[in-house]
Amino acid sequence: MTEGGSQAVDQADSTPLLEIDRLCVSARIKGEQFRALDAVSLTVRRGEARGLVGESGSGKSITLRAAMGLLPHSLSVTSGAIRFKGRDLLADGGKSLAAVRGTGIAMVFQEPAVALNPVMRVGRQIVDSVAWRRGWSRREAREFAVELMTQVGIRDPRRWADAYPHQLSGGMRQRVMIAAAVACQPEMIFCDEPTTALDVTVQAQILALFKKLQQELNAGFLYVTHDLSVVAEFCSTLSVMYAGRIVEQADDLKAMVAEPAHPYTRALLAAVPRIKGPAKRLRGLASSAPPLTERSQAPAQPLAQIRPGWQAALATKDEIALFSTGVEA
Amino acid sequence: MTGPHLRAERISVTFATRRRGKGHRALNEVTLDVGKSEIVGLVGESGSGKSTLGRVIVGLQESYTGTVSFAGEVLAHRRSIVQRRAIQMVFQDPYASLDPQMTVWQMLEELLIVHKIGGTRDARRERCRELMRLVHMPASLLDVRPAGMSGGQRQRIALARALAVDPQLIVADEATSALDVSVQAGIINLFADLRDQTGLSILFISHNLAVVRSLCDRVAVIYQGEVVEVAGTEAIFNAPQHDYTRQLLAAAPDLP
Repeated sequence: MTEGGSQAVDQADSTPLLEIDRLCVSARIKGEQFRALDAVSLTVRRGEARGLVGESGSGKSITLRAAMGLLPHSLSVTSGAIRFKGRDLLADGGKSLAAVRGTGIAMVFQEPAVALNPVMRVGRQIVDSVAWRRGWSRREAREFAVELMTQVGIRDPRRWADAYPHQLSGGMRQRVMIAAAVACQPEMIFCDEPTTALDVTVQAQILALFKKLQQELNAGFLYVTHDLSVVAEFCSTLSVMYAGRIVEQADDLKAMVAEPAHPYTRALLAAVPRIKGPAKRLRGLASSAPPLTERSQAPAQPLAQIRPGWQAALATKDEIALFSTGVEA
Repeated sequence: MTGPHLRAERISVTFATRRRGKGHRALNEVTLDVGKSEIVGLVGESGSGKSTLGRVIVGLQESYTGTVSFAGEVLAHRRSIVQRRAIQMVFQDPYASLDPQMTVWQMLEELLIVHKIGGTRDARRERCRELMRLVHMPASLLDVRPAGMSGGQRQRIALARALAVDPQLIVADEATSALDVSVQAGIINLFADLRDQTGLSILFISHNLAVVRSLCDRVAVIYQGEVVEVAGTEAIFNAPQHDYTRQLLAAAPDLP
């Protein structure tokens, strides 16, 4: 246990649940290869909720999609490893990944209206992935769906189990997707902006539900979002990405938010409007991540240790200048 | 001139529903003021009626009861071109609100011609350059189409379009919600600066309380078609009176 850690981490199990190890992904644009992810490393332990934040184009979603084996055809993993409980998921051409997807790992996406099948009743949809594996009858499957719907806080689940997705509100749809995700009792849950399309009150309920599931299942979460406030609400550890690289990460989110080491993290935090504390003028960033084709193709330097369990990239002089000037343009 | 700059008084809007009956009452006798050079936040969740109220004020929703008056004059439900000029709107989605086939220059010039502003082509071009300066964009982007721009740049262009006709009030409907926080911060600062520099009034519609707090002078909270609380920003955040306002504040995530 490091001194920076705020979360009780399972000591007995020293292998992390998920380990992304120097993952490089390249994008093919007009026949040329460009680095989309550059030596991205992070870990998630059992019961840990890690936030992965960054602006559009930072590579946070690509990292998540690579870990789930859902990269689009234009992107490919060039080097690095993704280990789930110590087992390399990429080593045998994706077979191990297919084996754990839907049993050991589950996903919750941003837009449940798109992710759910519009012509399947939600009750069946929730248990579809597990019912055939377990050889259940219709009635058994339905009972399990109703149980899961109760667990994720859907009132009157018997009635809603027979509804189609379009008949549900956005918050209910997201609950259905979460119910489908936890149906297989996953050890690891990937979340891609799961509350971005929801109202704040519904968002708060969904975050409370995630906290409950985290405790009940002792699952690990990798939570991708652009919203730092949401991450601070749910996660205990944090990784920040910029232009395809991790610039800073810590096992103690609060400490990192209080005293960010990398100028980019500092700039990003200064742009977040707050509910509490003195109202300050926000600071816009000088530039968002440059497009892939204009990025430096030099390999990333390893992160420097700030404290145990806390690393940051060494910022170049240019980067310091770029991120330290509050710019209105 | 007496009274507030903009006054929307006892506005009600009812949408017809497919089933027969009374229809859906989206707004119920809502009254809201915006003073000269004031930035007023309008917060509420989806379906609360906040966008509908914005559309009534701008003149996009012509079927309503109640009165909208601006600078002491009661506005007709169907606005005249002069009345439309005074109140402009900026929408949420910078990808959907700009014509993909037109360059920025064509979009802005079209407006200037329709509203008979700017005189000669050279004068119009100069005015467009000035608009680009106002929204902190390089004039070189005048000849670019939206596809070549980032989300933040597009939203600045949408704002330049709204400003092109010299409005006195801008209704911004979730204008920063689709943007990254870093970009959002720049747009919020831009709104604040425009108010300071040009005396513009702004009705800022948003579901994001933290954003509203960082920009607005006053905040109105709308819930199920009714304004449940209006107060100065710090009063809303430090001493909310209505239960719903308290619920919203309790639900809003924040950095530690």
